[in-house]
Amino acid sequence: MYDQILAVAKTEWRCQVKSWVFRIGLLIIIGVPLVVDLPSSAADLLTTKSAGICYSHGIVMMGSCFMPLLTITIFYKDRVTSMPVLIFSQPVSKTSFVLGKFFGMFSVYMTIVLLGILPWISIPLFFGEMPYSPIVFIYFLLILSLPSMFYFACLCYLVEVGFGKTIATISIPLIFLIFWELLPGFASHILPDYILGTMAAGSPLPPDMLQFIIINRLFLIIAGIGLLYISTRAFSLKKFMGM
Amino acid sequence: MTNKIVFENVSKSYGNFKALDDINLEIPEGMFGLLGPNGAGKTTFMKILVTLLDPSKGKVLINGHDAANDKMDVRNIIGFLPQEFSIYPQLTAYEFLEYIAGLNGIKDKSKITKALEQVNLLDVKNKKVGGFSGGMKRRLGIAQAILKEPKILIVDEPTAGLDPEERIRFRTLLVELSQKRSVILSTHIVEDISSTCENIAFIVRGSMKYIGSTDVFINKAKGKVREFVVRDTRDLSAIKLKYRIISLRRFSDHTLVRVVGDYSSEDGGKEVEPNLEEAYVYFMHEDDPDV
Repeated sequence: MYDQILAVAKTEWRCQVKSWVFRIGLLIIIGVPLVVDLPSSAADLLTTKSAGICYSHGIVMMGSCFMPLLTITIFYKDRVTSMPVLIFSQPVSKTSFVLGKFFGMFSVYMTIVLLGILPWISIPLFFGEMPYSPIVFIYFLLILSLPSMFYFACLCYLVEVGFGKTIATISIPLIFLIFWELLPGFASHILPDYILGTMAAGSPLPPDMLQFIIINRLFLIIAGIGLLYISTRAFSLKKFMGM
Repeated sequence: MTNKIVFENVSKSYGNFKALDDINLEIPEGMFGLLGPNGAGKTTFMKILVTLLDPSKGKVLINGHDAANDKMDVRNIIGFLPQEFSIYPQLTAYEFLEYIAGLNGIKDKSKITKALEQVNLLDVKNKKVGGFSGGMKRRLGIAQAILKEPKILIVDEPTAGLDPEERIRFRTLLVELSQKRSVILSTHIVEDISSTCENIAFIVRGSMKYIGSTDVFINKAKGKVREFVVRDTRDLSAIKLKYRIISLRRFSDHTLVRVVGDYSSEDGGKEVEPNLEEAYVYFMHEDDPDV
C-alpha cells in the first residue's frame, strides 16, 4: 500500500511541477510576500526570528489562496484523460489512490515553500549583511506553516473529493479563509497576531500562549487526518470514472 | 498452470438497457478473439473481465478468482489495454511506466526497460507522451499491460485508428505475446481476428451468437457467399435489394460483386468460399428479416 501511495504521489508531483500551476504557485506564495515585506535599507532588515515568522505566516496566508487552485488541478487531468481506467485496472485500492493524490498535492506546496526559503534568507546579502539562518526558517515552517497548511489542504481536498465541482473547491475554502476570525481560536489555522508578535519579539512565551499553540497545532493535525480519512471514504470510483 | 476464464450467466444492465444478456462462456488458452459490431457489448464484457465493472447478475471466474469479489487478485494476473485511453501528457514514457510499476509493487527497474524494448519505444523513453503518435501511444499502452508479466492480457480494440503498417506490427506483437500468456482481443475489425485468433466469440446486442473455432465459424457461412458479374446497373440494383454486398470491384466492361445471404438457384452467380469478414456479416444479420 505504501509503495502505491508513493507511486501516485510521485507521479502527481511530477505532473504538477511541470505545469503552469506550479509557476503560479511560485509567484503567489514566494513572490507576493517577498515584494510586500522587502526592506528598503539595511536598517529595515528584520531579525532572523522575525523574518522566519514573517515568511511562515506569509506562506500560510498566500498558500491558503493558492491551495484551492492546486486542488482543482489534482483530479482535472484524470477527468480529461482516461488514465483512471489504466490506474484502476492495476491492483491499487481507492484509499491508496486518494492518499497518494493528496500527498502528491501537498508535496507540490512544500516544494514551493522550501524553494521560497532561498530568496528570503538571501535578502540581507543585498545590504551587505550575513544571510538569515535557514534553520530558523525551517523551525518556524514546521511549527507555524506545516500544521496550518496540512489542515487547510485537507479541507480543500475533502471539498474537491466530495463535490467534484470547481466552484465549490474554490469558494468553500475561501469563505472559510475570509471568516477565519469567527472560528474558535483553537480551531483556526492562522495564529493570532499577538502570539506571532510575542514570538517575533524573541521573549519567552507565557505558559497560556504556549498551551494555546500546542492545543491549536495538535487540533489542526488531528482534524486534518480526520478530514483526510473522510476523503478516502467519500471518494466514489464510479463517479470519478464517469460510470 | 493453465489460465481459465469462465463467464457464468453474466448479465449487465444500465437501467432498462441490457448491455450483456446471460453470457455463458469458457475462454480457452491462446489467442481468443471477441468479435462484434460497435455497441455490441464488447467493452462492457472487457470491463467486467478487468474488474472495472461488476456484473448485474452471474459471475466471472478468472483462474478461480471471482472478478467481483477478489478484484486485487484478478488485477494481479491481468494486463489491460483499454479501447480509449490517454496518459498524462506531462509524463515521459519511462515515467509513465515507472508509475504503473509502482502501482504493481515492481521494484526492478530493468522490467521497465525490457517492456519499452519489447514495444520498440526504448529510444524515445525520455520523450513526453504528449508528443507521441497514436501508434506509439498504443504501443506504450501494451508496454504498461505487459510490464507485470501478466498471465492474461486483455486488449480492447487495439488497432482502431492505426495506419496499416502499424496495425500489422501491432498484430504481430500480440501474437508474440500470446506465446507466454492468454490474450483476449476484442475488436470489430475482422482482419485483426482472422490473422491472429484460433478461437472466437461473436457477440451481437449483448448476446453471444457463436463461441468456438474461427474455421468452424467460417464454414458455417459456406454456401452463403456468391459472386456476380454485373454489366448493367439495373442488375446491381436488383442484387442490392436481395443481398448484402460485401465488395464491388470495377473492371473496364463489368463489375464483380461479392454478396452474402440466403440465395435461390435462379439468381445465378457463382458460389465462393467465405472468409471471416463475410461470415461475420452473414451472422450479424442472420435474424434480420431484410436479408
